[in-house]
Amino acid sequence: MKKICSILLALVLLIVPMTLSVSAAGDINANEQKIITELKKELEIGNKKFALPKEYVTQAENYLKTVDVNEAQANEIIGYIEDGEEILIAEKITGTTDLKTLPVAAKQQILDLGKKAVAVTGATLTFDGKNVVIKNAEGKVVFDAAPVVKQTGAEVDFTAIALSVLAVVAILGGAIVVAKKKSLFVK
Amino acid sequence: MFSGDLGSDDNEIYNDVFTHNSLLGYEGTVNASDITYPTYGSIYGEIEIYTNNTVYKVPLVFGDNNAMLRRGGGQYIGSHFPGEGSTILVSGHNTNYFNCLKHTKVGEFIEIKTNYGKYKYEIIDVSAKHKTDKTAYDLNAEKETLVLYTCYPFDVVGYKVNRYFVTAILVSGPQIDPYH
Repeated sequence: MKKICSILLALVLLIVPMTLSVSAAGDINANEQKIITELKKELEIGNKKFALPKEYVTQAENYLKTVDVNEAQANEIIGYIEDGEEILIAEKITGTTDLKTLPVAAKQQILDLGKKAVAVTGATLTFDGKNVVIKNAEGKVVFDAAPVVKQTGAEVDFTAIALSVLAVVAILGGAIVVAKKKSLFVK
Repeated sequence: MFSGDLGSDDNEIYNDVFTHNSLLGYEGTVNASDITYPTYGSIYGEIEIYTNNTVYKVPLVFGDNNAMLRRGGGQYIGSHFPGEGSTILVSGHNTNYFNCLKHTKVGEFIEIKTNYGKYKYEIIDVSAKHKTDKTAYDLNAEKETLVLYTCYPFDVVGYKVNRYFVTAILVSGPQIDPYH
């Protein structure tokens, strides 16, 4: 499900021209608001509603704060979203959990749309079979479908641990040899 | 590190946008167009955690992969910025930057200094929950909430399924006008 949602969102994020300065105005203009509204829209398919996860929409919003989108660009972006929606409607997807039941051909279609959008903007979409990451032309991540909560535990350098253990063994071994030579061990 | 990208992005050049500005206050409104938003991996603020009779200062990074968590507290890029009136979700390692979370108590304060304003939050909850427990944070919140988390328990080495969440609500800070 996340893969498909990610690719749909890619259509939005990557069509934005990357030639714009990253220091562009941080406000959301009317064109960008149209895109956000479209992203937040619930798609009614059958008797059920389909919506992008909130955290995906926020990633799009955060990205749009760093660029300026004009009307033509916004319309093109919305067109891509609608193309993705049409695929879902055609496949009678009635909920986010149904996305995994999308036929391979439909998934490929959506992926291809995403990649085309990427090519237009000079950005890249990486899909490793598990996760989708989108980077702008400067190579900075603008979207990551990884789980929200991350691993934040202790950093463990097993190489350092192994070397430390070996060092201890070596020292002890050396000490035993020395002790034996000095006949410190009592039989 | 246990998770996948140890070492990645460590050689990247980050465009940090945070500078201390004593003139910035805790009130008023700030136009979004006046803000220099951070790009992935850049430091755009500083978190100050007031607990254990100490002020723990943690750089605030936009992005939360392993490389970013070695730089400070990492904001999930699908969460909001301070002043936007919703949830700011920040993670940190329990061995360094967020080890201090184990001392935090309800009623204590956390501040965030950014390049566009200062924000003060009051802790309303501290609790350990499973990492997949979505009741620990609400990314749809319509009330500004700061959520800091780290792996739990603190003194056990290795992969952990639980997280220690510190939730705080906004006390004061300039609101961002997103349309100007």
